[in-house]
Amino acid sequence: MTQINAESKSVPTRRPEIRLRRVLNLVQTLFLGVGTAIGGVMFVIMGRATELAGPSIIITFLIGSVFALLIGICYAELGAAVPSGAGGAISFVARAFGDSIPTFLAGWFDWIGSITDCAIGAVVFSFSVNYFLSWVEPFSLAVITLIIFTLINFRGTKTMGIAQFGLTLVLILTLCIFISGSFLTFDSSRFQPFFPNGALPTILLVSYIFPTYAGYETITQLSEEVKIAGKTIPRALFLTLATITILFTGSAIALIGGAPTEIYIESNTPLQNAANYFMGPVGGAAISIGSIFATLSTINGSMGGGTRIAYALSRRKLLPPVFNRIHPRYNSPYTALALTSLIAIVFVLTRSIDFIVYAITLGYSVTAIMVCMALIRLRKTEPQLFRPFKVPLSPYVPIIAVTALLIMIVTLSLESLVLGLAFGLIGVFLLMMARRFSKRKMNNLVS
Amino acid sequence: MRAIIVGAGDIGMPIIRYLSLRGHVLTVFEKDEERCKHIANHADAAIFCSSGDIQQVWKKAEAEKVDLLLALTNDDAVNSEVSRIAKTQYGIPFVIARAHQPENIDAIKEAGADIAICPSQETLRVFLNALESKVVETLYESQRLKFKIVIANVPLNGTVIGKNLGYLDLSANCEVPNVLRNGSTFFPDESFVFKGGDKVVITGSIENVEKIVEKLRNIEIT
Repeated sequence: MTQINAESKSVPTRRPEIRLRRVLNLVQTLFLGVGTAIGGVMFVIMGRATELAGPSIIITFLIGSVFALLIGICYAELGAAVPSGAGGAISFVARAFGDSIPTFLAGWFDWIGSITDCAIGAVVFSFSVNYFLSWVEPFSLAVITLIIFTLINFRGTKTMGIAQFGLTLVLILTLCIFISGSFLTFDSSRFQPFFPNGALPTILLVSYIFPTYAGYETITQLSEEVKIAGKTIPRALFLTLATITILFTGSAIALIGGAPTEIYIESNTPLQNAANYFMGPVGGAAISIGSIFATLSTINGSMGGGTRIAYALSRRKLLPPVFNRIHPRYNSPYTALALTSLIAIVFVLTRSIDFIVYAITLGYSVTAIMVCMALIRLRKTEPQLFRPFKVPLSPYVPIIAVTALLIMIVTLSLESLVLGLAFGLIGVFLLMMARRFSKRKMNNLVS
Repeated sequence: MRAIIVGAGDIGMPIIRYLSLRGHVLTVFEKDEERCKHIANHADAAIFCSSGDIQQVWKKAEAEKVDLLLALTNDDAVNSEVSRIAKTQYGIPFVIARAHQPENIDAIKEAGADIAICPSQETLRVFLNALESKVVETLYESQRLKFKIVIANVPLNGTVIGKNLGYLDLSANCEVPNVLRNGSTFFPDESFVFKGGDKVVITGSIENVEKIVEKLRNIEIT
């Protein structure tokens, strides 16, 4: 048995490395996407959006879904094909364009976006709790919440996935209750007139609601921890998009058909008010709980996603190498996690995150544009890379996606553009400083 | 551990799944698109639809960081070339290659493979062993008495060859009364030395007799 013995003898390795582990299955990955995408914001913006566009807001959500699908299929191709895709966008762009400044910016914007999502989630959650328990100081609670989710994420991807599953399940159930509850008082005449202010607000509002879709991207950020990623990632992405489309448009239809406009139109809690109208106080309470769980699942998911981006940035030497450590016991990127949640806490403590929110849409859109370009370029530079899922009609689909994203950027508010640019410049400045610093350190070591 | 597997056929695919389940970082080179699809659906690996003859693919696979390479294609020339690139260009510490023709084993090892395995030769070995060790004849067996008499052949490459009777470690209720060799009968004592082709008579309790038969059938594998 000499040869077989030689085979089972441990293989000589170059350098032992601790890596992320593949622990997430299809359902956990799907819930990661759905839970992160549907955040507390959705429970807030529905009233304001309906005031502007009327019942045609349903069309806005459908356009949003088509946009998200166009971009989502690009993420699906890359997420399935690119190995070691931790961080999602940053890894894809790096593979196509190297460790350059555009790559850094894709990761940087994506990272800031995730951190802000996370911070906003914590603030919205705390204000929701404060609404019931007025003695709770919301900003302290937000910080405590972030610390709790940092610990959950520290315990590893499996724990994080299980938490996400529970939180998202409650969220989906309450939205289903909301949608079915609306049938009690459903009146189809409320859909007339369908375009009270014309069709323009319907289209302009796409950029307003689009950030709520951005959460599905988290799936690719954790792609290195997904089991059989080549098969699971495209499936999870499409199922996530289908689920959030059904839940978004379903909720909009339920809201408009189930309750008269005056109930919710000027409210910050439109869905709760409507549920109160068609199901009584129990319904209102159920939706409040749902909105709270929505914020929690967004915190959990975006913290996980943001951490992977920081990890991926560090792995490509675009952040100091200390942030690419993996915990030997829990297999979580704990240093990147600490940095990400620390920044989220700082954002919370500045008490002016709504300021940063403006920049998010621009950030996510720039990142998505980079991803579409990476797809087109990789088709040329790496034709041999096997793509388990292929974007049909490439390069036309990615080009259409880029165009849609550019239109979205143009329709953004001026604040968003200015703030987005400012964040980009800050990022590049920090990168330059870091590179100069590390170069000096290298020179010192040599001399 | 990082590994590159070239060829995902009847041997490559199970190895890919085995390594993938254990969380290793895999890169696969496979020419056939259908097979690539199969890998993507059943394992975690970066897959290149290529036979490994393109330099750029090796670079993209970060071959300089890889610990193990398995060359498992159906083409000995490809396996040899892949082993050479792996060893000489990227210094991959452990290279195992498949040799289709036994006469190519040495050439593949020379090219850079640490181990070259020839499946047809291995199969042949298994068949020959089965053939050699088959001949065990039961002369008498009684379940009630739990007693059995058999006559067993010592295979030509049996591990027992050259060992004396003590090696069999006979217990109280089992003995070897006779050994037939070249048409004559021996009554073995402790110092009796076995030879290939011996026919050994074993009597005793069923359980112990079967244990001794196993020992006699054991084959030296080289």
